[in-house]
Amino acid sequence: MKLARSALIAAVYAILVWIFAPISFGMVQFRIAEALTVLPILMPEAILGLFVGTMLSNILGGLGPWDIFGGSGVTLLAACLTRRFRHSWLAYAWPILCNGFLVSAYLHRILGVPYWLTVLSVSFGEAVVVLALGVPLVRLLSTRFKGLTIDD
Amino acid sequence: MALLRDMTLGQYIPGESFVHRLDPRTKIIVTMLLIILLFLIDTFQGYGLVALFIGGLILLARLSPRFVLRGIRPMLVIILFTLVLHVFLSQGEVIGQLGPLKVTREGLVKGGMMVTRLLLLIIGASLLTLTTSPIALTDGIEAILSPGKRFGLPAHELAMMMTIALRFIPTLLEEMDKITKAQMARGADFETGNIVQRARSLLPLLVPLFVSAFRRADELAVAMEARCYRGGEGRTKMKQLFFTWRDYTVIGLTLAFAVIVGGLL
Repeated sequence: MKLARSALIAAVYAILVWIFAPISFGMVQFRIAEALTVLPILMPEAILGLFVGTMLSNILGGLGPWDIFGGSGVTLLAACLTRRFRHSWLAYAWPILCNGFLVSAYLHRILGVPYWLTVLSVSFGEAVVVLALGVPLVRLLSTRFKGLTIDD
Repeated sequence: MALLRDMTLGQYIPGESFVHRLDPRTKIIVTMLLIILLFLIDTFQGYGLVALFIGGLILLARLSPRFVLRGIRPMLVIILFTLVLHVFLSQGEVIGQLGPLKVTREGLVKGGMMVTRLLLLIIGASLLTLTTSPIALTDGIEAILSPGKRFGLPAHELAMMMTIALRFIPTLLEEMDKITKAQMARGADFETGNIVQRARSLLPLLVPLFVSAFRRADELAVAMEARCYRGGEGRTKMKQLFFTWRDYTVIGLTLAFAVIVGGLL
């Protein structure tokens, strides 16, 4: 059942944010959990899982509703786009672009930090996690665990 | 890497206070109102009034201030970083110099303001999670999202996912702890190298974690199907949400407070 799998993806996202909480929030962030944003390439149910995961972790993060609804909304958007472009390299670019430009917009409001500087730092952190961790993760999961991944 | 160190999950502190017994929807709405208000005002007097209001809520919730302040700790680095950025990067009247870095009066004021707002934001939001159990919170979110069902928003599914995720977080944390120890026993190294290498070193943790999570998901799916789970349609709840006079009073008072403070300052 897809619901259960989405829920477990959300749980994995949330625990990764909590374990690495000091580097998961704010202007300079390397949110390890964001490596999961590439999962929609393999399975559509990851989209809602990521959405719920971000929401849960940001509820406990403490930056408030902006982060809770904004952050999860951005993740949802990025996940849908990643799914849509799953056959091209663009799939990996969406989480980086969406988070870089949109998350920075509200971090800029909440923290009052310069927008473009935040775009740079957030995209950089996101790019490191997605490219160094997300890309091999997709490769490993799709080749070694064929039974686990359903693609239509 | 001690993963299970003082992790207060969801930070919820059970209690029987006035605030604890409010409907979760009320608490979500009040938190939202306070946060919107914090973004509307930009004077220290305004922040002072909001601080008093939040202080009143903490008293009403009978929470020890120590717990409330503990919520700030994980955010401390972000707060300090914000302060430093404002103090050194603002233009204006220079009142001190540290090498090439100039401290301006405007920077100090703006930095102070941002930090105050951030502290109030964090404390206000943590008040919600401190007094509402995660399950009540997801029920509240489901209720708030349910008007969206008409537009195809899967409100029940989302709330169900949150509940399941919350249920499995402690289990997976324990699993992660075991995997980490197992990989370290095999010589895994998570603490050397540059950022990219360090990020990559987490791969041997993530893959087993996923395999385990997916296995659990499949088992759970079988269990749910065996119990005839068929989605939210026609399902009843063990704990119903009710709005009482308390909820209307609290929302009314908060709204009045927000309008007065937001309008005056």
